Amino acid sequence: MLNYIIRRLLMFIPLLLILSIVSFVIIQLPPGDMLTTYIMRLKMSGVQISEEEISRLTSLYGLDKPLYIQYLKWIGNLLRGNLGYSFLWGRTVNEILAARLPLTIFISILTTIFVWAIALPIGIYSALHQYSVFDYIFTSIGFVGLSVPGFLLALILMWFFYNQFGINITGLFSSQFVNASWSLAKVLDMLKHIWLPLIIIGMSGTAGLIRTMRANLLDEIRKQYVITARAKGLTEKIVIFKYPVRIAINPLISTIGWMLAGIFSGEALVSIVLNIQTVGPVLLQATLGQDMYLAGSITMILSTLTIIGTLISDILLAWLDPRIRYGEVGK
Amino acid sequence: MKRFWMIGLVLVLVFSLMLGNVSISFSQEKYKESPMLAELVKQGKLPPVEERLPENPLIVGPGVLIQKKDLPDWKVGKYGGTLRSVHHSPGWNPDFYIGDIEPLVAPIGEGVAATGVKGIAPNIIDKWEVSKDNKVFTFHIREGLKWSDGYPVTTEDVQFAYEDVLLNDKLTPIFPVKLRSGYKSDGEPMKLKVIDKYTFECSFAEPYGGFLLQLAINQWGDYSDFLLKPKHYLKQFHIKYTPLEKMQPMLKEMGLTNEWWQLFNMKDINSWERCTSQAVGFPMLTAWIPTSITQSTIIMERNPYYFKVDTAGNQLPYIDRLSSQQVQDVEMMNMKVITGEVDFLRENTSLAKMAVYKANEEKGGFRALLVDHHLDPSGLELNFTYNDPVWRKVVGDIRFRRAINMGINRKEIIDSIYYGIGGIPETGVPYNPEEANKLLDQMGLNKRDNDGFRIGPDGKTFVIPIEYGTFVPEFPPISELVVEQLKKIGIKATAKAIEISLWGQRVGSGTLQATIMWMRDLGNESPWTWDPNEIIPQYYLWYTTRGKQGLEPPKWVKDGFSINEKIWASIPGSEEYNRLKREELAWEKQYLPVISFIGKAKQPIIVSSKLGNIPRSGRDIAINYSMEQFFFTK
Repeated sequence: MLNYIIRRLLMFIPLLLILSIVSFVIIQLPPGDMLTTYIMRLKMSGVQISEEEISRLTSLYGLDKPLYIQYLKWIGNLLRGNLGYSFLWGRTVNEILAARLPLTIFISILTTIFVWAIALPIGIYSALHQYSVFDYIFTSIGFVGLSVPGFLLALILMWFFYNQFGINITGLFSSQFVNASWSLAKVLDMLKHIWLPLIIIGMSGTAGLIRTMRANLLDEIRKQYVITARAKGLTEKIVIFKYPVRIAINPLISTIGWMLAGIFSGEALVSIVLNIQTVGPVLLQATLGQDMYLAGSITMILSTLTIIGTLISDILLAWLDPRIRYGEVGK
Repeated sequence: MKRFWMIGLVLVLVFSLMLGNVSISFSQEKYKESPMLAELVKQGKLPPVEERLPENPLIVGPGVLIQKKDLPDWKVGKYGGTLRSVHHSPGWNPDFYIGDIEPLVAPIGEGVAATGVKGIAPNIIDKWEVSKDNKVFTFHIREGLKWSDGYPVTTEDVQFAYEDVLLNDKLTPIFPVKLRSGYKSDGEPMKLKVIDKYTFECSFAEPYGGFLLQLAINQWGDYSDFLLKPKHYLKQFHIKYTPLEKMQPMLKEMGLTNEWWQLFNMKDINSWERCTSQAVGFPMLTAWIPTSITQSTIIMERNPYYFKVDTAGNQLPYIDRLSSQQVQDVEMMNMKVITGEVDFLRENTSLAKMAVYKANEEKGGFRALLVDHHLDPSGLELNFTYNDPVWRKVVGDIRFRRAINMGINRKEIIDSIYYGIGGIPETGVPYNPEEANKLLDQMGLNKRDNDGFRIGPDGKTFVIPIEYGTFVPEFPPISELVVEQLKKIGIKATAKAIEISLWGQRVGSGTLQATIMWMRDLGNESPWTWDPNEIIPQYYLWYTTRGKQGLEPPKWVKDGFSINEKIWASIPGSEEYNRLKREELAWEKQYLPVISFIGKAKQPIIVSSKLGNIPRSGRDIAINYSMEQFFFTK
């Protein structure tokens, strides 16, 4: 096991190197650079930047240096924990992420708990009572949740709340708390606002999870070992929870790999619609604005987290399911 | 005789009383200030208002910032309040940007902020003189004017901006065209002579009356973009005044070793950088100065040293604070507007949303004004020097441009896209497809292909490939309409949206063949009437290199250059200038370098119903300019 983990960790190094090159190059692929985007943004407001000013900015941001030097500079700083400087925001990437990360992680974890707490029992219930009234109800809700994109749901709810009650449900804080430092009042204010994004972001996740759990469990409970267990006279509770549920949960564990990255970035579209300050919208904006260090660093972190997540889920799976071996077949 | 003496005595008494009163009011309260600042004065953190203001502050009253016809009921305002706004791009709120602009001299219509460039008014500079040949300008800075940190503004700051920044090739690799004789890229650089603490002289080798216009409005900049920089603050980042070792810790923080000019550039804040986090603490001359810029908010507070007062002696601005929240999406701004979370919004409003604004005015506690737009919001630009001989021959033929100008159904565009609000632009002609068809037949485009489109001189269908940037929501539907309208006169056009940085890059390299763009921006009088890279890149190159590179332009283009040169040589608002502007318009009507679709366009402005001194008409941008006289009535 330890051997296996070390081997996987060693594989990280070349993988991350390739990833860093790919993410840097992809950001550079579209025409122009961060400066052209910046200049166009000003031009849209009527501000004309002269040639002299452009040449000054180009050298200021080091954009006149060849691509590989820009890359080496970035990766060198990255290794020392300095994620670089965002031209668009005019501050360091570390600062930007530090401000948004806690909130993002908080929302994501809360959403995950929400999703699992609701989806797992419902999935199990649906599987055990297949084709019952409740199964149909949950299935219908599940399909709606799967097919309606989160941002659309957010838009509809936003309009509904404004039209019916005249309140703007966007943002996570009331305006007097936006700039206030953290206090009990601020936390309470946030808890007042957070449930809606939670439900919206969790909706499709819940629906998907219900379907997966139901299908997996249905597969399992028809297997012979379940019949054997029942025949041996075990109570229904032990029969279901000790064996089939444990196995049915396996596919969910393997999704932890992507979940970790998801927790970091938050749901971008819903965050944009609901005006929540998470990392997702920043990544989108950085990519559109070709803010290379910001976009590159976030992409890099996301990829690293995905790799780590995959490793964690692999280890967890191996630990939960003894049938899984570490690629040493034949020994 | 006695009575005469009595009268005399009474008069003397009255006079002395008046004088006494005057002198009393003078010494006690000549100027008043915001309670917020009075508190700081009381605590001893700030000198009294008389010491903070220059000797002769700019006095704002009826008709000073905004013309009387647009704001007939100008009032002395009340202090206090926070003006709320929203922004989308980090570190950029266009309305705060315009509201905070303080040019050296101000452009006037009939009010300083009217921005119809009819002349020039005092602002930071209170007196100036121009030599008869329009080559030498003597400027006088308002005496006793102070930076926002209380440090006096003198010609030392001008000298610093000129000698240590503009003439330093690390900080200014290319000397700006704006400061070259006649606004020509090969013109001689400006020379500066400091006369005394407040007076300086700028001289040019050739007549350059338009220099005043450069200082006033061109490209929407202000004093900070050239000629005036806070020396006492910036010298700590300049190699001439501070040894490199002292800057080393700051350089290291930025990941640099000895590139001090990068540090200097980062610390030197331009007009359009005022909403960025680096701008906090930078000495300014503006009404509000940034005090807290976080990732989600921009907060600016009143500048205690601002140089304008109202007629009652109250130091401006009236509003204490500006605060802007970042939204993740432009659409979210409209949501914030209708729920009443925005007190002022200009640039990011949209005519298409007018009905939504109107429906929510009362509920949201705001008014949606429809005022004049400061530019013509759309028009067709053809690149006369695009690298294709057939294209050049066709679009270079004036009959072709006249036919297009006649073939555009402006009423249809205005009715379907601008909700019927707007008029025919100055160069526009009545819609006349028959005449347009006749002209096109005459010029030899009389053969048609199987689809009914005209065939060019090379035997292939002639196509206008319109590629527009995606930054204006009206551009896509307009392009589609234009494509349909041109079909009626047998011209094949295609419309394609391209991403804005690609658009910018192709304009920059002069390789965009045809595009839709706004035109006649009041604040952007370029060396030619439009961005030359959009329509005549090769001709312009020929012009700027004096024939060494590029293509030799036809006579009508040369005429345009020559009119433009004369305009820049003359003084804005002068008899000569106005005559040349008329000449330019006549030239434009005759040769149609661009084809504008709509003039007299309107732009909605959102203002809280609690705000006072809001003009009822005029230009959108002028209203934005006059923000220092806004006040909260409740």
